[in-house]
Amino acid sequence: MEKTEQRLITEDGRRIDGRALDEMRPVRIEAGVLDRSDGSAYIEMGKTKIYAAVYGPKEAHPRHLAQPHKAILNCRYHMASFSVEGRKAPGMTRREIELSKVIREALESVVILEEFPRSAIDIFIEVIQADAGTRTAGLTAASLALADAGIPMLDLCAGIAVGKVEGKIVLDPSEEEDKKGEADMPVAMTPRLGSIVLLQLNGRLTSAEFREALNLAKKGIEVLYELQKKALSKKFESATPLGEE
Amino acid sequence: MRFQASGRVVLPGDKLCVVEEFMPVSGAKALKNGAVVATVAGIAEYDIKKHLVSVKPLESSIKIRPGDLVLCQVREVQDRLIICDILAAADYKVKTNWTAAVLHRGGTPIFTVGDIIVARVLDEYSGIYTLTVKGRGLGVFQAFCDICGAPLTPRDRTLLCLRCRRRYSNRPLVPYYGKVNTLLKMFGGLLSPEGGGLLWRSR
Repeated sequence: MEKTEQRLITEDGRRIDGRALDEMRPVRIEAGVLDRSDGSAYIEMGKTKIYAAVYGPKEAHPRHLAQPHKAILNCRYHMASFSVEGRKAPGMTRREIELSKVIREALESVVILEEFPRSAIDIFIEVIQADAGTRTAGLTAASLALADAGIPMLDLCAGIAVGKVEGKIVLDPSEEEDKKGEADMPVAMTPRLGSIVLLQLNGRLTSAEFREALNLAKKGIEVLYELQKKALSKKFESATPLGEE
Repeated sequence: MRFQASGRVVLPGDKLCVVEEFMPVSGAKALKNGAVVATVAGIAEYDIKKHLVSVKPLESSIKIRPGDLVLCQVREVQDRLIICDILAAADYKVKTNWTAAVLHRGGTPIFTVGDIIVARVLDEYSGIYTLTVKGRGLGVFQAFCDICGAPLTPRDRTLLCLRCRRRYSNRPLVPYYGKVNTLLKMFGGLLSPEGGGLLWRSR
């Protein structure tokens, strides 16, 4: 019997979920969703659902880690056991440790750590449901949570993945496109400063494809940035400046 | 150059002006290209006379400021320095303990490890707060004996250990020494979990 393989991109240039190549999944971003943390945010990108919470600045522990001239940023990216098909072991995997590191390094470039010597800022990114693009969505939520906590930053940062599927560059690949695609490139940027704070690439792209992918990512990041600003403005629309209550 | 209207909410990264027009004070930072951007979400304020720009935050990350009244527990007593943990502040919630130091002249230390004191923040340098206990309403709220560790009882403006009968005369006392209810009125709803547990034990 002949085996027919399902096409990921249809003849009219649409993807399996009906999106155009440069179309993102539906996004919902909220700031200040958790009461107990100093700052928090929630992001939903298609089926991906992530909470981010920020605690601090607080005293750095263990104390030998404290820096005399700046704060340290601790970042924990973690996927819940129920976030993927089939149960995931609850501990930190090598992948999660690596992603915690790249997200921390991305955020270190925007947070003004010098304002809080000998302190630590803890960032927790909890993936509730995973469906591709969790590292960039987590970074976007973490950046918003930091701003929500009132931690000084040079700019918000937002991230999105671009992929290569059946020879076409697509924005925000879904789980299936991610698995079957030829390349996957998560990108995070600070839209106002215009700097790239995270860029990874799995697979191969030609230089023309790379440029196309980067431009597509920039387009997606601009959309996310506007949504981040809306979420923050909504949170603060009824707030009064401190000391004027 | 178009200015963000003074009094309007700005978000981190929003361009406020360039350094030739206004110098950043708080909540704003000058970039290498000379642009001044907001670093926190808040209200932009331009001082036209002094050519300064600042952003008044809507959410502050650190709230302990010089002049604040704080409740502390003594952690370590050194020759000229008493190191404490800030447990609560009078006007806002302190979520985690911060290290602070009280300077003293040396000689017999005025506090012992475990004492709960009410102090005022003098200054902050490099993440360490300096405190004073000189002033009205400042001093030790609950002191403990250096020798046996028992809680001290006030007697004739001094403190007496009822267990070992030792008397302490150099500790500055708050007027409501040992009265937990008064302290709870001042700090109760704002205590950190550690501070709440501490007061509960001292009852």
